[in-house]
Amino acid sequence: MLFLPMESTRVSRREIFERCIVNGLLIASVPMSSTKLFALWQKTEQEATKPTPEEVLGPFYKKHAPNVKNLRGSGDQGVPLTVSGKVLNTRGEPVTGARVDIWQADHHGRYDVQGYRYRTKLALDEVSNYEIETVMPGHYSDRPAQHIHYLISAPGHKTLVTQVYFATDPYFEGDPDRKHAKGGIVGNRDLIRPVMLYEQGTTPRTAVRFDLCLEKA
Amino acid sequence: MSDQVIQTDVPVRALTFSSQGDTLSGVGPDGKVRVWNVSSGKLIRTVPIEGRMFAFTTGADRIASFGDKGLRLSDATTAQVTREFDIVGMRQVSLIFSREASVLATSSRDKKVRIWDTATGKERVAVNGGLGGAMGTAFSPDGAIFVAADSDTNVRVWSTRNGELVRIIEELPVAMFALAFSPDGKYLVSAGVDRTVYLWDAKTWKLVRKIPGQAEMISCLAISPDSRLIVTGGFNDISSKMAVSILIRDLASGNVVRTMASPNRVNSTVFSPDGKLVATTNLDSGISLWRVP
Repeated sequence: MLFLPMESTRVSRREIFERCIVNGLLIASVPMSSTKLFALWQKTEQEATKPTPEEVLGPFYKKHAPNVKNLRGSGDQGVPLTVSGKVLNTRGEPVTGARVDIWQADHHGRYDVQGYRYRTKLALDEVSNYEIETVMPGHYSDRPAQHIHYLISAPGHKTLVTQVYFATDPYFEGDPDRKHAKGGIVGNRDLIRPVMLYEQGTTPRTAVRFDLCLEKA
Repeated sequence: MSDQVIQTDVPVRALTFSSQGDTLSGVGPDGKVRVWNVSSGKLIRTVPIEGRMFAFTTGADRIASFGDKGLRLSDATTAQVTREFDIVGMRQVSLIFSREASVLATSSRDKKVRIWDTATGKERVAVNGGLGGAMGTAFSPDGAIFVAADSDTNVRVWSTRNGELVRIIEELPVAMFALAFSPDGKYLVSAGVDRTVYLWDAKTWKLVRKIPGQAEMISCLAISPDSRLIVTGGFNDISSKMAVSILIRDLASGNVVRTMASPNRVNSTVFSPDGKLVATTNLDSGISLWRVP
């Protein structure tokens, strides 16, 4: 049990952090020095509070998409993909009343502009978690990096227009750190997310986490 | 095949007829204005203008350019700079003149639309566009109204005089790439992602008519000087390099007057001042001229 006396308000974050390690409250999955672990912890905390970079809205947005979690139709081609995350404010707290428009091209790189395939507008509760079932978007020649579009609004916050990209995209040649600026397509390296590959039955599936951080209006 | 091709050494943009219709002007990727004789197809002159984005005044006598040296107005024959505008911090600007060229509108990466007085070089109005930024823009024939189609699918209508937001047309299902007023001032016409031409009453801003029938997304359009016909060109949404159609249609009935073909994305469509010709450009070099039936 971690016990902090009243005067502990003067205890540094570093000291609290080390106590957590000593008391077994924080365990690294691989052997790691406490200094390195602390740096990692701080980095994660800072990233959680940095507003998500903006991206262009693009020409294929449609209003009035239905509120659906499953965008993948039965028999749809493409690698199944789960995208999940939270909508947070810059203090890292869940945002209340967020509306999240998500739209993307299908496996063949085509947007449905007649209807609402691969389009949703989620209404999030106060926990502000979201999760959608979709497929890995296809490539199209005029914009060759795979991406999913987001438009997020919430009371008291600036509306955010952004996109998520995939570190596994062949476009980044296996090295998004160095190739992210290629062709001037991706505005910010932070928008390229790692992809988890796993198997469900015999089907390969992918999952991506994409948290969205909104600035105050 | 077009009825006539004007050979050009580079793909050209900002295609504009002279007031008499005897010459055509365009700008190449090198920022050089090129002027051709329409009947002979011969290059008459080349005029260097600094910039990346360009717009001619009606008749192509003057040209606005935006580039490293800012936003400038130049004589399109002598290249003499006649006006410089104060545009600190603007990025990726697109430009359009009112018909009489008394005002110039810019839309920029910061999602702001600005109206500039060409006589003084001063900014008259700066208004916020939509969530995405303007894609298509147009002035009413009398210059009193400015409209911009945003990628958020809304078309916004402003007063040029004071920047008052007159109307937001919100009922479009998708984004519009091209806007134009009919020269008689009666209609605003829009077209884009859903391959449909929309006609709006330019007083009430209510939808008058929809004209479907184009196979591809529509990237550019023009209305004939007599306000009777519309020409539309587009692009294939999988690849700009795929062949597409260009249609001349009757605005009142929607009937196709002439179907033409382009080997790839159509970048501009203009009517000659007498309405007898349509000139188009695509991704390749060359200007295609088509007789209007």
